Amino acid sequence: MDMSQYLGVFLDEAREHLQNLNDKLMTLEQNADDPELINSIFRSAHTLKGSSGQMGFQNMMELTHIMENVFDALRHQSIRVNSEMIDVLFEGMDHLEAMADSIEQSGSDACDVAATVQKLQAITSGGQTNSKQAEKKTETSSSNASIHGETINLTDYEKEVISQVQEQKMQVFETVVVLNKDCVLKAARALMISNAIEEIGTIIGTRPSTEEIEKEAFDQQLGFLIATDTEEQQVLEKINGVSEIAKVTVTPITTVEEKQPVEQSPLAQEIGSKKQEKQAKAPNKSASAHQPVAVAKTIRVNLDRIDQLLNLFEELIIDRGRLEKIASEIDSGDLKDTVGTIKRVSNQLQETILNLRMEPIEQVFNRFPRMVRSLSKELNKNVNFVIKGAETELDRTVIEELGDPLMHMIRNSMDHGIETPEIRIEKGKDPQGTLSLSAFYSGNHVFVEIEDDGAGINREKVLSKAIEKNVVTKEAAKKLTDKDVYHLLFASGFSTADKISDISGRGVGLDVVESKIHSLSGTVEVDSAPGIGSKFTVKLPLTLSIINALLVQCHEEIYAIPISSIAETALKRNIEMLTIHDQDVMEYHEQIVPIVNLDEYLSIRSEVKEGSQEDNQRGSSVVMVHHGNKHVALTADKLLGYQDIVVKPLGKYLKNVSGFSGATILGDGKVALIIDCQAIIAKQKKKYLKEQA
Amino acid sequence: MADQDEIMKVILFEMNAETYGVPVEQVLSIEKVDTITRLPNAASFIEGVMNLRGLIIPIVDVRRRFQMGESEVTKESRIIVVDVEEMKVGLLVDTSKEVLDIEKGKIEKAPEIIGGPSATYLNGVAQIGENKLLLLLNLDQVLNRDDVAALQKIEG
Repeated sequence: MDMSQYLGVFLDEAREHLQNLNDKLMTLEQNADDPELINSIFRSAHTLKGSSGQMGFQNMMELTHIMENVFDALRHQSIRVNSEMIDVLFEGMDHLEAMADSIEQSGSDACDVAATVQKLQAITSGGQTNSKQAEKKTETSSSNASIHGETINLTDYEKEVISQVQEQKMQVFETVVVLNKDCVLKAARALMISNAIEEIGTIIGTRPSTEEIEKEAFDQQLGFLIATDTEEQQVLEKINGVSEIAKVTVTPITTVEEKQPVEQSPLAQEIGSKKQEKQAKAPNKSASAHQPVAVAKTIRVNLDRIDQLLNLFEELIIDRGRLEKIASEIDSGDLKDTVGTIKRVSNQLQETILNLRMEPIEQVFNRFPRMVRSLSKELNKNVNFVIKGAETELDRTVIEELGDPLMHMIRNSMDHGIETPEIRIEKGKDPQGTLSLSAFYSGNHVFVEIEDDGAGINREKVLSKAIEKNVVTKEAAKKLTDKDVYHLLFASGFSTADKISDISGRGVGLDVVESKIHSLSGTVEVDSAPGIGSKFTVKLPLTLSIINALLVQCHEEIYAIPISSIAETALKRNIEMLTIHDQDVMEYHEQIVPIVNLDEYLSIRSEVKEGSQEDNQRGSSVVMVHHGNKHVALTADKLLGYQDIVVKPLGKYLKNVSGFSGATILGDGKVALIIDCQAIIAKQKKKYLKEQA
Repeated sequence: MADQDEIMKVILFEMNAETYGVPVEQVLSIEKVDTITRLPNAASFIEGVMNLRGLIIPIVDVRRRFQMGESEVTKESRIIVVDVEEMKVGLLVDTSKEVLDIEKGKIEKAPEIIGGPSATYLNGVAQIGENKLLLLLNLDQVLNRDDVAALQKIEG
């Protein structure tokens, strides 16, 4: 059977299970005794094993199988959780993730896992689980030994079934049968006993497993869990009717500790079914009954289709712009009303479509707990990692790009921020440092903060390094605010670590972070207090593709300025212009702000005669733009008004062209470039620093 | 060689009375010149950007790319939209009218041509008719971005 059509679904599900395993393993380390947690891990591993086997990925299936054995042993408490074990399990997870990637890319799950397999097997052989049987029968590993003590250790599955059976007013008996010592066909005898029991009730579980019984892998003792509506005495009689039995004890089970609240699952009804084989499959069914019931119905949609939908909608927006223009020229009430309706509906449509592309930031956040864990080990630091607001939703494209910059910042905080426990104690701090990663909405933006309670940033150290590396001049350095100084960390070729460590000194540093975040139209800021900690704040737009912008005209050319960059607009004749060092400036909120003539900045060739009417209009409008707390005033000939525009990338070929964050198509089909205000401000700053030098 | 007789389809265009060709597989469409928006701060041979059915594509003035002067947009001017390494770029050329089949065996190594593009930008030349030479463009080189970056540095 051709499985390729299911490959996408398989990979999606496999990744979900891998993520679940990753998360739960992290929690398991702190919370080793939570049976529900171990069960959830086991179920994920089990499903993954099953589906990878079905798809024919033998390697993946085998590795999952061996890991599953470990989880199974944990479930039955034959081994205990410890840090080394988690390390090995994570190693296995890494291999599984690599396999999933390689399946996606090349369709093969080839991967050398021998070393990990060995380590995993060493863990299980420490416990008493026989891996071969543990795979097939989940109840197996509660060992024979427990029967000798005449009480059967109940598995969670059995407990659950028992509680459901009891709700149906049936009784549950724990029955231990000892066969005659000279009994030859033990398996046949056992079958006779179970047949006898099935006449009056249902077998919930056996000790040992049915398979082991079939193989005669037991001494003289057999244990049965029986659900029945008859009395203790009748059970006893029925079993005693089978020959070659030395002793039978029947004890009723009245209550089950740790009763788990479960909805009436199909399983309880299945009890009535007389087929023994079904029991082997039953644990899986109960597993699915355990999973939280999804409230909303969902379908998987190929991302390409959503992108296509967005593209079509973008074309609609362009035509809507055109319609609005026409409607304003033609004086028709009906037309205006209709255009108004279209505008309203398309606004809702836009919101809906963009929402389709939104995904919780959890997807990125999820990979960090593991990283922090292994980093803390590597660096000998004790770090409490806190995640807040993982449900915050962001555009998918942003989420995909956000992983690397966040990783760099977290590494940075781990490496340079949080101190070793010894130093922390010396400073009178809690030996365990706290690193928090949080996301939240504010206005049209999403904020992501990385905050640590470490040493903070050393202003002097940063400055001397920056001067040494020629990032700033000595003169300019004196005038920088703390925030400016901290921001120098993002300058390229900058690393304050005295020695290059493996953690943050991988050749790519915070400068990559800033450029990446800028490419997402976001900003990053640093705040710090020496001895108390530092905070990196990333501000991102909710969505990238449709923005509100001001269209401005310079000569014949039209440009768009994103509204998010605009602080204010004014007419030039209403402002007071000053000149400092040949640079036009103006005062704005007690700040001296440089004025940039867009004509010059955009090197627009003027063909207008000086003194003519058009010339008087030149640069008559002022747009105050900002990036963070830095402002620049831009002059343009005319402000054409605000409009929703669709941001289109300039493409790979023009990657090196700076000054524009993209382009848009106007109502008349012409292309207008979107001005990157941050680039203008950066250019001004460079110019300023040059003059200072 | 086995592929001596293999036929290659080439889109022809003209510039400075020379005939150039690009393989048809690399060409997406041939367009009339619409409004081109100037792109400040870009290399001089980038004429600007154009709206191609909702897609923004950069337009390269081939003449300026080869330092052969500047193209004048006329009625005959065409934009050949090519797709090279997942980059869609429009080439502004004087005119483009023909598609031609040429045998691969007839393609020769490109000599240095005085006043024309340097041999690095050519995949070869082929004789097409009397006294007529076809210059086959190597688009990977013509649209090499490292080259573009270098040029921008010099100009900027």
